Amino acid sequence: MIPDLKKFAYRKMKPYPGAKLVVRMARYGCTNRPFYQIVVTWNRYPRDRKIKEQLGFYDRLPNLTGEQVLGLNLDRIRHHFKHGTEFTRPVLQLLGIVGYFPIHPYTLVEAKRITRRREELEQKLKEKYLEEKEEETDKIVQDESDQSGEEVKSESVDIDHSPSTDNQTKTVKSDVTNLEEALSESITIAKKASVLKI
Amino acid sequence: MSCNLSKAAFLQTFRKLSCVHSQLLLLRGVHVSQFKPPVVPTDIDPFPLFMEEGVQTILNDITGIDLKKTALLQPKKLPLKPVLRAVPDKELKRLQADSFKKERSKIEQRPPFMRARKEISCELARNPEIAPVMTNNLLFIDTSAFTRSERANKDKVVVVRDTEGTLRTATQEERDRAIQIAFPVRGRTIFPSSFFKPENLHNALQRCRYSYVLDKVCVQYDPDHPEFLRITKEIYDYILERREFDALRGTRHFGSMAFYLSLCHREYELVLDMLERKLIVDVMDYIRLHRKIHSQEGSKGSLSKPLGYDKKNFEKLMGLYMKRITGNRKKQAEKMVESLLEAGLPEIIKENLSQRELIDSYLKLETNVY
Repeated sequence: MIPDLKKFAYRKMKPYPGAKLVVRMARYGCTNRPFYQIVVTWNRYPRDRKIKEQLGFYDRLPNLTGEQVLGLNLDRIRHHFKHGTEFTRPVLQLLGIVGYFPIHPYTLVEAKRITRRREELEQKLKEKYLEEKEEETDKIVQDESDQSGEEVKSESVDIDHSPSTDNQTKTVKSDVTNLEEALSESITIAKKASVLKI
Repeated sequence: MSCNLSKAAFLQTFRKLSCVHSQLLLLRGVHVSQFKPPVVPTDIDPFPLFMEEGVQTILNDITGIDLKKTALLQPKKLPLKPVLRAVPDKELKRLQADSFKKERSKIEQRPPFMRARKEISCELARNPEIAPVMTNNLLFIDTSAFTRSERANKDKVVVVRDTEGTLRTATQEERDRAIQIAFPVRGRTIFPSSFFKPENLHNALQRCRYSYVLDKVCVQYDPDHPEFLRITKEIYDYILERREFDALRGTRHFGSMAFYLSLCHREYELVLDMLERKLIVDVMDYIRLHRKIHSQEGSKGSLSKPLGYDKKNFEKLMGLYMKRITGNRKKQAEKMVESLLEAGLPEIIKENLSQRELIDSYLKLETNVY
């Protein structure tokens, strides 16, 4: 009996030697408006052309309701996965986010990077704010010291500067509490303005 | 007058109205509403009742088939030249039978009367470590239904990954949107158009475009969508108030309206309307349906067999029905019945039955197309 190899024939038909099937994103859409089709092609073919099969779509930009939309033909993905096609990293990431595959380690790496950037931003803003505050307090201290110096010269030598120093510490403490409130505002503004995913 | 209509529009609507009651209301201006909108009872589950064969056949018989009206109601995009053909009698019968069958198949696609669907939300996984990556919610739909044989909307998988990193099944609104993106239905918009806002609806209803609006609603929403229920309820109440049942007779919405009215115990106006138009066979069927819906056994109780349509059974049924009515209505109904008896019941019944037999004969004719 001749074995029925017809079902394997399609895998043997290769357009060029060393061709491998790959599941990846093909970028369609327009300038500044990407739209990806998730697609099975041979690995050396141009990114957008000569696809073997379309498995889904991915719209990275949020729609009117603020969602990114993903559609995938899970049956066919399963089929291709069984037969050993390569999946590129972004496709695997998406599948992990969706829950069909486990979460890709690169998403965790990305998450860490983003949190680190956020913290750095916050640090920078804090430092800036503190610098500004220090300048202001320095100015205030200088003014007060000039005034108090004049007073001392005019009146007598034994005058304590304690009440003025207490006032200065109190203002610094209140400044610290106000700092966080004011910082949160500026942080949110900076986040919105930033192009990166911070 | 309280109408917002211009003079010409007023005359147009006046001519379109099929009932003296509605004409009077239009003239008076419907300001002070003594009309109590009907309330749907919550203890009866309407859907299994609605889908029974007996109920469906009764609704089919009540709506009948009116080819002229449906031809008028069709939206015409281009002015078509009329096609004239000389045709032998047999061929003519065949063509008529084709059109009847088409009509009947359209009427049988009536929107079922269901309860509002329930909200589902189920958490599948929690991954707060991904949260920084998710700037927006990710709406995922499984498009593998294209390659599968089963196509029910309820089986389609729609899942959302939140900005906090929780994976959950989507809410009903998200599901609708996602299914419309991936499996679009022709005529449906993803975000509901301003056609269904109350002011615009009211505008359309004032011009007596009931079946037009109902068709649009059927296209946009599924029958168990709460918006669908709200809008259809509004329209049916509007029709009830004006007693304009004839506007829907012959369309596929008549059956659902009749079912809705008998559920809410407001079938009296419809019965009166039928008696006025001398559709006695329809009255008997409708009262049987009403008794069935409100019998103690509910959906398990079987529909009483269609006894012969004659004077005796008519009087029997009307007697049984009028036990439930009280006061003014009873007197009105009794008057109607008396006038009908004087006019000659058996002849009217014969006419109605002959009409029904005509329709049946056309439907049973063998044709190539349908």
